[in-house]
Amino acid sequence: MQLDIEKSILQIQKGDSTAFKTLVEEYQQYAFKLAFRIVCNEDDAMDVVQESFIKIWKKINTYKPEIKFTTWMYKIISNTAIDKLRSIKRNNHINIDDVSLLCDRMSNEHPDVQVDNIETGQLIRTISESLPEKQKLVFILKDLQGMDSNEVENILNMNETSVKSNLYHARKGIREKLNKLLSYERRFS
Amino acid sequence: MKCKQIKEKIDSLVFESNDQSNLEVIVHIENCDSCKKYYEESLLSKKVISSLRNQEYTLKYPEIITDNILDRIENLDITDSSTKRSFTSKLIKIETIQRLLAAASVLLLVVFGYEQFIVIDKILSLEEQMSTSSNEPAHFKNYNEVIAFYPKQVTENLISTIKDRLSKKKNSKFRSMILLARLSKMDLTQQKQFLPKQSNEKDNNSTSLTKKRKER
Repeated sequence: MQLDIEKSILQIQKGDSTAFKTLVEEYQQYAFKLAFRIVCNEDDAMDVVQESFIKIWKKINTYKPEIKFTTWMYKIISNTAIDKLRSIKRNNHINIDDVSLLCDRMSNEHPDVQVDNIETGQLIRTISESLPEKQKLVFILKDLQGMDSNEVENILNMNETSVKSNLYHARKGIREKLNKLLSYERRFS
Repeated sequence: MKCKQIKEKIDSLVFESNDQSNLEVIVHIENCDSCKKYYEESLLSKKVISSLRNQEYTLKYPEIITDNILDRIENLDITDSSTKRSFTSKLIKIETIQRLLAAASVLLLVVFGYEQFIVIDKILSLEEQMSTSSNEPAHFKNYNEVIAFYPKQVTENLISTIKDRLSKKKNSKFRSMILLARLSKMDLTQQKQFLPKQSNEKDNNSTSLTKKRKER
């Protein structure tokens, strides 16, 4: 049964924690996907999901129905994930052999083939970590989450031109990074 | 069309799944190695990105995450209510402080009022005492006339006498100040009574003054 989001929000605004529980159950997987793509680590992504839903509970009275709930929610998740990224120091080493191998697999196999979360996280991190924050977010929301440009503009408070420009530069950077990984793998195969 | 424009078209074609590729772009790709390489790399990138996009990224143990969130919200509500309680107790403390301050101000008013009363009482009794012991008729109209009429030494004697009389009591400095301030506004019939009667010089001056008046 699909959740009646408007009704749920009204109940949550009155302090109904049962309605909030239903909302968490409905959206936590979506929230995790976005958080994981930004922080590229399962544990950090789980922290981001929890923090984001707590923020949603706290700020639910500021939600305006003119905005799509998911847009509002993704905005909170993106901001929380970016804060998390800034606060953590990445010391764990990424094995370039593993990442380039995965990259090669993905470029050859069917796009629907499922890979382990850890490996995928490492690949996203490798290709996007050198990008500026805005470019990285635009790339994740547009190309990985598959959102339309209008939603990206609303989530990141950017205009159409800015989104286009950031996306262009992000894709350019990612293409160069992926080419390096693929040529690295081909050298040894 | 230049290579830069072709590459933009390739981006649109590959990443936006825009099928509106025109013949010019296809011909250019076939004849330009750089753009051909760019196109092939873009296709590979697109494939990897699509694969990353199609990954499930499932949240493990979602029930635990839900429970954690709800627990934290519950604690948050408790913290909020305790914050409200502590805010109320702070308000009560502020009210108590305000009441204490009000009481302290009333007390200060009473103490200073009493002090004032003592000074005024002292002045009045001094005036009374001096007037009974003095035979000097009242003829000066103000304090300045007294100062102008009597030599400087007499005026200084007058002030030092007042100070001497008050110095034996507590808070004499404060009282002297009030008394002197009051003297400057006092009616002359009262002021002249403060003149030191023991002084010979004063007696002489008083006698000569009386004589002068009688002559008039």
